[in-house]
Amino acid sequence: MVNFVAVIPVKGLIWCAQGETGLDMLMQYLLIMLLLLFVVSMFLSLTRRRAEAFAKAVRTVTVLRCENCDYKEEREFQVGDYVFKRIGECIKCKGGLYISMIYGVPEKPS
Amino acid sequence: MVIAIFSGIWQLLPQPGGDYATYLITYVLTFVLFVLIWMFLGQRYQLYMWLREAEKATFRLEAMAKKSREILVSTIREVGKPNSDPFDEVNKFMDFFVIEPVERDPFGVLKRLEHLLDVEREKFKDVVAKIAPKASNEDRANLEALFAATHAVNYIYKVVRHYTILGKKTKSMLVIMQIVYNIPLIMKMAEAYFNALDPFAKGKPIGDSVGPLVAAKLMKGYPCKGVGDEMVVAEVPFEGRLLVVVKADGPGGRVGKPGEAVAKLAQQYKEKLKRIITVDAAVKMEGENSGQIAEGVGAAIGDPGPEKYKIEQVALELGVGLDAIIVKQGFDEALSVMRKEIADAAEKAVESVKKVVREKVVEGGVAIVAGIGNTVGVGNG
Repeated sequence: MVNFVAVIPVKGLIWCAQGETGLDMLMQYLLIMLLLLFVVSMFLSLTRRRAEAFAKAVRTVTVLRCENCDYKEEREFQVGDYVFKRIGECIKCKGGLYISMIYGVPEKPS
Repeated sequence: MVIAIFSGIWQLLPQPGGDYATYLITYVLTFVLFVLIWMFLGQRYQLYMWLREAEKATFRLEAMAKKSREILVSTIREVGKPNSDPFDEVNKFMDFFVIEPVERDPFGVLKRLEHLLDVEREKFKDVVAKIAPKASNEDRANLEALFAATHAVNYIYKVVRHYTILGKKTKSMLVIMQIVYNIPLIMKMAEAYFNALDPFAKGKPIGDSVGPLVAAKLMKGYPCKGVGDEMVVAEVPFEGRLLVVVKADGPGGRVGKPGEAVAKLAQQYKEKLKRIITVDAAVKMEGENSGQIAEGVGAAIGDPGPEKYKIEQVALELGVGLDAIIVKQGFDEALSVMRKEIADAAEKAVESVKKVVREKVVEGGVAIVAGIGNTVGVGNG
């Protein structure tokens, strides 16, 4: 294994430096592949990334509607909101205002 | 082209003045060495790469399980105002399990399964009542759902960790290959449960709430009363017919026992009952659009069996047709905050229900409409 990892690549590099034949080029390719494999393996075994957990970023929208007129309002979700919850009075006609829809919009990563 | 190929081959041949013997021996030896390396180390290298993949997934799942427990504990502290630290109790509950009933003697297996599911639900309720004594009924229902989602993330983490460690210990390609090839699907499932934590903690509707949302839209403005276990019902007149609309009691994260409620109501209205219509969220196939409505026949309900059985049984007994309306969505969407396409699809599903009623129920007849799913964030209309 030591011979494989250390001696052959060194000898190969010396040969590559000495000549310019097609065989040298082939050797060069093989050695580069070998070294790459070695470096990648070492890199993978040395790096141990700590994983982190992130929930999907979603903006939640609450849609309010009036029971009598066409008034509609959208705002950010607040804890305690639920669909068909009565919220108060419509600012246009004083009719009952209720939550007609709650939905999530995926946020684009910044 | 031909010249290029031949010049390439020519390059490989020994050139005048070169040390022919040394080159040839090195050339052959290097190839032999490579072949031997791949013969003896190739599988080990593959195993190493698979183990790395499994370890990476395990680390990620570990972080998700830890974070989900933190979310659960902080929600319990916020809404339940416990007297002692709930962390130990939560950790203890993460090892909770249910043993499925024996199926070798299938007689009465659904009743035994239903009993076990009832006991399981009772256990969840007891734990939540113990660690969040000051939480409201709706918050308790949300906490139960949050517990279930956290438990699911933790269970997935433990299964993946088990196979990863087993693969490392045994160095068996068969063991490690099974988990690695399933990792993309496993991670998708874990992420779906992880993304369900926020809606359950804050009481937001999820994709699976579309069934109860359709029912709530139909029963809006009509008084509703309790029926069976955690279910509500409203009588809704519609174009000379009567719709008996049933859903889980909202807006807490409940699924109730819709089969039991439908069976009870079917017996109650059996003289005029013409149709039982179930509305539920269903997992779409890849390539299908989220929020797509499909109509079919049968009981659209994704429970382990007992509730579905009750609906089928009462329909058969009374000779009533079963219609199913599904709102298609991805598995991850069913557990995440309800997307706009799905919220919009609820209105289309209401129209589909009305269409089925017009076509199949004569004037003066009765139809039971059941909105199946978790009613988190959806009130009773």
